[in-house]
Amino acid sequence: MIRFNLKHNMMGFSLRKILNYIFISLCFIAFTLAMIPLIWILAETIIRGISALSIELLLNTAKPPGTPGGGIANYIQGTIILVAIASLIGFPFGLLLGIFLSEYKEHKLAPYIRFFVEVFAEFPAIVIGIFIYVTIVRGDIFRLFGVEKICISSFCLGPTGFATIAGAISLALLMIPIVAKAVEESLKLVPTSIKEAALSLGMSKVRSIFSISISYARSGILLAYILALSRIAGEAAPLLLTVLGSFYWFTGLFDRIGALPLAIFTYGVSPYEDYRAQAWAASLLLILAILFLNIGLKIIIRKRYSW
Amino acid sequence: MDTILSIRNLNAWYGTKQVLFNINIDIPKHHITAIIGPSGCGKTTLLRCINRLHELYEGNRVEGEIYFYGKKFKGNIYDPNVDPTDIRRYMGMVFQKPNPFPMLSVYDNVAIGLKVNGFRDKKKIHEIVLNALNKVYLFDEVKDSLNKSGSSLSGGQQQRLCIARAIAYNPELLLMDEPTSALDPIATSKIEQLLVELKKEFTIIIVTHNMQQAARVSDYTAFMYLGKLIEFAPTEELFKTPKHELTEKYITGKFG
Amino acid sequence: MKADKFFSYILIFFSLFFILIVFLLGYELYRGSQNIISIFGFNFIINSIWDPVRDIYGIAPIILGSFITSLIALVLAVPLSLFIAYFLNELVPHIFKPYLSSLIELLAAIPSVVYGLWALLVLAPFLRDYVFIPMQKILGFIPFFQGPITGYGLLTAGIVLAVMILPTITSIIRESLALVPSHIKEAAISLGAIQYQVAILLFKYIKFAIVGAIILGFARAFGEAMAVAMVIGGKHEFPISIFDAGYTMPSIIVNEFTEAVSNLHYDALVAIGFILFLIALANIVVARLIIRKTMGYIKYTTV
Repeated sequence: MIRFNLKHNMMGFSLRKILNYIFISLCFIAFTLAMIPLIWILAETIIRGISALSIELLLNTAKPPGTPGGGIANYIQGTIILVAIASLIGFPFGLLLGIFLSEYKEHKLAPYIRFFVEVFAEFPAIVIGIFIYVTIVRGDIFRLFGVEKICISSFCLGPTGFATIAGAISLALLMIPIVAKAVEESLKLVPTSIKEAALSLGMSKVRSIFSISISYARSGILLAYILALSRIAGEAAPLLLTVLGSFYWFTGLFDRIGALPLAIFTYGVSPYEDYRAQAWAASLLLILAILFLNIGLKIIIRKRYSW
Repeated sequence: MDTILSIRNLNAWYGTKQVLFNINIDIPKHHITAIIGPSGCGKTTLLRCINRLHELYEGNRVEGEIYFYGKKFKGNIYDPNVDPTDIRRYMGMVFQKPNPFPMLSVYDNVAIGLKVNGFRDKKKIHEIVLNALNKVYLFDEVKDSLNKSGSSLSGGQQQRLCIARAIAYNPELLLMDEPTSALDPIATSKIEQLLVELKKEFTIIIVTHNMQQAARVSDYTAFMYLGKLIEFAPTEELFKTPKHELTEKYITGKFG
Repeated sequence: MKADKFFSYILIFFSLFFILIVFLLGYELYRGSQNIISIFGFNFIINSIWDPVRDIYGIAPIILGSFITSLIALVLAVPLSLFIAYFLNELVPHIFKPYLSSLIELLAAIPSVVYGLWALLVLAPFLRDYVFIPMQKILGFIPFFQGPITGYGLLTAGIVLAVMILPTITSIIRESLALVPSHIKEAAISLGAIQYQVAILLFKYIKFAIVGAIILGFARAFGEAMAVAMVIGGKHEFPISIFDAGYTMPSIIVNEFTEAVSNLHYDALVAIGFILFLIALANIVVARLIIRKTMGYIKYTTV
């Protein structure tokens, strides 16, 4: 990499030297400006979040505004449940797409899949939310087949209404392209020699992928999962359109459910001081979780699983 | 004989690896000096030390003095009070691989050196650009494609464009790093003819791995081996009666 | 081998299923907008009256609001991103580089509701008192800077969006700056170019990638829902100044979805979603193609 010696930039006072001082100062200033919102948000969240945080806040469910002892425990539970179900659906799906993109890249479908994955990754979350609302919550997908619901004996699939499962599916859809792209990248880093060695031992391609390539790239794949997790954990827009929110503990896959990002939104825009304080506490938890995923786990994984 | 460049006790490092050892050489004005030697001998590094490109990479280091005796600047270019960007304006450089700016037109590729160096007068720039293109015998070939991208030309044309770019802002010294190694024989001979023309106005230092080329175009030749300057003499003398055993071995093709 | 065949069928099945989902997404949103299309037709886009009580839906002011906020975001974020990208790639000493870069990436990791909460309760009141009111005193003679100031409106939304898209644009510019071959930089430096001149040449070299980054940043800003919904103020009429409240397409979906009054109201929100889908699709495809083309072009000229 080419780098100018900063000392040399500071010599002389011709016009171009002055322009150069200005340019370099602007670079510093731009970076500093970008740091202001970051530090500001983190500081506000930490200060206001900690002052609102208490044991009962973490253990109690939501209560009407003004009632003492209201908590955000049900939202924490909701986020964990939604993210867990979304992972169950989204991670394997994304993993398979990632494997396809890296190990079958000569397949004629691969470039199309790659393009769709890239495009899908950039879709606004709200569009995904509307899509799940229309198809699953409202059940238009069933009307596509000319029925209200599809029944096999007593087991019926139909419009779910606002439901946990719909929210989890919308988060899973957000997760798939992130996982797929990151898995593709990390599998690409597996040296060809290692893959060929596995095949030369008489392994089938499936076995070489699962027992050699994936275990070689496991830290990258785990990081892919974490990246996707920290992205969907904070999503509110699709949840609003699919689970709507709830003040109570989780009651079932086909019932409404609360989530931390939803609580931050509804509590934040409410006029009640205690609700707003709880919104800060919820933000603090969310940010801590994301920071933990982003920084903490990355370091741990790199230490334990890197070769 | 006037000297334009005196290199004194020059040492250079890539990280901790020393690649130049105590180079001392005087480059005569308005002549072509060729630097030859097997690959890895430090000839390109020496060239890149002259316009202070070598030190731009992290970890690289240069020690010693290079005195430049130009019209606008006289003195040690490694003086701590000298800004290397000023130095580079008195020298032009042509690289091993033709590297015109692909995002600029043929015309702007030549004009950019002037603009970078503070020329504002459009009319004067136009005049100089056409003049420079003429000097490298490129104008007739590209007069209809002055607005096309610099990378649309053939390899030989691209390299001549790069020479035009390097001479447009009227440097006194032209540094050429194996300028023909990526070109075919016809393009090569065109550039060699051009060099002989150009030495009337500029002093040229050319690094080449091709001994025949050095013999054909240069007035003086320096032979380097393993980071050391082994021999420096008028070209004819060096090729006919080499004083050093290593030089003789090299020019008779007895090694590498 | 049998297992291999079977596995490749599974992979192809999931790949096709994924493509099916993408097509289904477009198709279902289109079908969900059928009611609105048949009742309002093109007027849905060009009408300026949004009245759920009388079931009249026109979104011209909302589309305008989306464009204004996204453009404000770009105007603020693009120059900053160029400087930051150059700063991180070319000016910062090696040892600090990963730390400073991850600080910028951290901006992208903050959830958009948290941005919204901060903007709603902290930034907007601050901007109103210390930025907008003084700004109006100076620039108040210009039509777009007049009118009441609450702190909640297009400009605040644009500022928040600028912060949110900054890391995206910066990282694309950084990636393509890093791909500029060193011989191009050396050529510039050997001509005597000083740092800012080298920077200008490098930016010219990656100009297509910069255009791609701008389009992608625009798409991000255009599709952002939560943070905007919390500070945009919520107004269905044409905004009269950049301080005025308004709506953007995603933010009206968020704010009105939970209290939609009729089925047609829901349909109108779905139709907005469909338009968002089309715009996002166009933006992303164009941006990706441009970025891909530049990367290819850079690789080509390196060979």
